[in-house]
Amino acid sequence: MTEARAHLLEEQFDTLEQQHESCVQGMWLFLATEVLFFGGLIFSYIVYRYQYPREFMAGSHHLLMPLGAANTGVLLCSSLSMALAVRAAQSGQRGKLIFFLLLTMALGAAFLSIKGVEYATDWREGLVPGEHFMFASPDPQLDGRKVELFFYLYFAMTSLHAIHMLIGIGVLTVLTVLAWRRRFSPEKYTAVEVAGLYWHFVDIVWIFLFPLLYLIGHH
Amino acid sequence: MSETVIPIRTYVLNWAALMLLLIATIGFDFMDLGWGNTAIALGIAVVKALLVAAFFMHLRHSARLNWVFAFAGIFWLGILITLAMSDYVTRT
Repeated sequence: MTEARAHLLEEQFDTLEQQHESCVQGMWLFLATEVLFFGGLIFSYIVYRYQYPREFMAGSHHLLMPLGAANTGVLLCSSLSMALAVRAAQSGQRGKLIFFLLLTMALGAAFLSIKGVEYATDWREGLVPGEHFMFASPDPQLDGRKVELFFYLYFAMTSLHAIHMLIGIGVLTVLTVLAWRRRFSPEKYTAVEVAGLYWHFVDIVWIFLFPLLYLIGHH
Repeated sequence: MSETVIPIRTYVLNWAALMLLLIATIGFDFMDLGWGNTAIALGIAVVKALLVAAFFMHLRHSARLNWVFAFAGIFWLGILITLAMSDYVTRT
């Protein structure tokens, strides 16, 4: 091993490959715990949707499906951009790495802006659970309290997801600064790879939230 | 480093497949299939998640131990849902 490579190696590892593999594995382990973190909410959703299918459908039809669909598209594009950022880091292309990190963050910000517009509309329509919750039911047989339960889950799941997006954008900001300072090389890009795994995971969460929340019953 | 550098073309094709699946999801949403709507939408979501994991997250070319970690998260979520729902669906 050359001097330059040896200096990148932490003492608990034998080789740079092992070091990289261990970090990647650690991230996968963290993501497994994240599956269960979101899983608790998904489980509550399944229980209540099973019990109140009609109320969940009525609630879902008040969401802005085109905005939810647009946001899915935005996140899929951000994942492509993130994957290309990781590839640029792997092949030592600093300019491309910085460009794709910035593009990924911009798409993340676009996602959060669209989400913000949705939340504002939901707020005005009185769909936020609590004292001011107002659901003008077209059908007197629907129980407004159960529709409120749907909106409680909607806000809990989407805001937890949005917090993950904010953390992701924060991580990418740090990576951009490090890339600017030439801290990455084809021998040392593990941080970019691992951040990419996190970003794609948050994308996958949304891939499930979109049909679960926006697509109950057809439009 | 031993990691394979995947061609840009693979990433772009994967993205195109994901976008087509998104369009399919929205298309199916305009048909009335009852619970079939949910089944199809979730089925497509699973395929999308697998594509993201296999190509964007490099699972396809990564160590088999990572497959185990990825599977474990889903497996334990499955235990949570299956055991708890077996209670809810059998209550009278």
